[in-house]
Amino acid sequence: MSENRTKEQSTNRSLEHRLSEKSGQLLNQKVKRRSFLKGAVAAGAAAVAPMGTASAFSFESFFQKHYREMTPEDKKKVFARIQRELKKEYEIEVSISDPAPISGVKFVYALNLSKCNGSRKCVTACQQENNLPADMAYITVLEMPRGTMNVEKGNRYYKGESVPKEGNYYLPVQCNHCENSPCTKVCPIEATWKEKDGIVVVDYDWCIGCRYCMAACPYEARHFNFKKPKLDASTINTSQSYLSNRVRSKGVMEKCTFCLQRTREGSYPACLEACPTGARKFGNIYDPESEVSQILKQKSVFVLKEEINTVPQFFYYFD
Amino acid sequence: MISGKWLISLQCWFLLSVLPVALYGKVVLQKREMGLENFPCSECHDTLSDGAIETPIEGNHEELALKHMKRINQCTVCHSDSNSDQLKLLNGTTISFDQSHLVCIQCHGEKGSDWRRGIHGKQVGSWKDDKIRLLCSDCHNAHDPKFKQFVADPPPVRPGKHH
Repeated sequence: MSENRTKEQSTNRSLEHRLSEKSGQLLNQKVKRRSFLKGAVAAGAAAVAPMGTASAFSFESFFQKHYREMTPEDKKKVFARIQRELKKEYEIEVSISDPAPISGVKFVYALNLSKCNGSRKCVTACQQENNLPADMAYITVLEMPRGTMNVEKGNRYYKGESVPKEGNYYLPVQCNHCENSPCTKVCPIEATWKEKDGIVVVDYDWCIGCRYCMAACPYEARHFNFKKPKLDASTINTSQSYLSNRVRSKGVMEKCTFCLQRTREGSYPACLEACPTGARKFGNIYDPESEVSQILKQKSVFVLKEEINTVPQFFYYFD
Repeated sequence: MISGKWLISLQCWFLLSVLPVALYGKVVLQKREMGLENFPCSECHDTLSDGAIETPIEGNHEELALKHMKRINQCTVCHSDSNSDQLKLLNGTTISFDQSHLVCIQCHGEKGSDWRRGIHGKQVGSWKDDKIRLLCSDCHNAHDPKFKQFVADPPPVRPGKHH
């Protein structure tokens, strides 16, 4: 036993001796500038290499600037990268647009609760337009007993062979695009902000997925990609926009953007066009003749959770 | 002689009156007349009889149910009796199917004024440029105007229950 131990100790000692000798040699060696740089570049490449292979986390997107700091050239490169990635993954050709807010326009939504019949056509249209998987939706339709106003008692899982059901009304909830938005305040990295036309947007490439905004939103309007969204390549909407309906990756937040890829080009949002009862109204609040301006003048509107001072831009009314 | 100052104010007034139209486009009513193009009513009906009818009518109009109002059971309350491709107002004026809303707002005035403001009913097209305003009978069946019940799209997936 003791013999073995002393042998082990001696080998250990000799190993230590050799190591110290070698390191001493290396430390005393004069390093040339060129050889040092070579080593540094090799180490850097080794560190980045595994990222380059993962599609969601490419070298380019890692060093990408914040959306609001990008020059037009930067944007062109980024959009080309997104197109390339989608081509590789889903084998589809997409167009990535970047419509700017129109000056003199502020978007407001109004919803007539007397007309909504809870058919969830808006939900489906939204999922198709915004490339959402089947298990995620920006719009939640709550089935509420008549005469109540407590949104926490609303049933969102109602099944409807025939809606509206007797004694209920239906309250669709989506992003309220608040003027005093708590979600944009809590973001630690400014990956979400309010645009000039009132739309609250997310830069999906900048988002780190901390979910602070999800916790801060009092309307459950923000949704998190816990896993990679399951999309059918044949049904993906190929006219996409950087800030709205482009395909998201795992680990980022997303939300309703009033279909900015449509509305900033002059169209109505997809949910409004799908509504079979005409309960949904959308428009520019600065235009006195727009539907929303007329509704705010003619009807008594209300907002959800007014008392918490989020100043929503999504109005409800009965008539 | 108009002074320069007056001229400028006149120009301003002119610009102000034109600008909102130029900025925000106009409202176009959805056309309904072309729906009659292939199957004009006059193909079968030269005139419409004045008398009361019972629904459902046997023959070509089996699906037609007259559930508008209890005492309205005559075609000629709304349809023109002399020209079956046209409608008729209560004062006897004949109007085309493109203006069918005029028939409705004779009784439903309040809804009509909301509709004219774009509040009631549905508008498609563009919020910025030309809006296409649907007529009453684009959504409501004029013979049976109450909305029927819908089949709702599937509910959201409960958390934890992935398919």
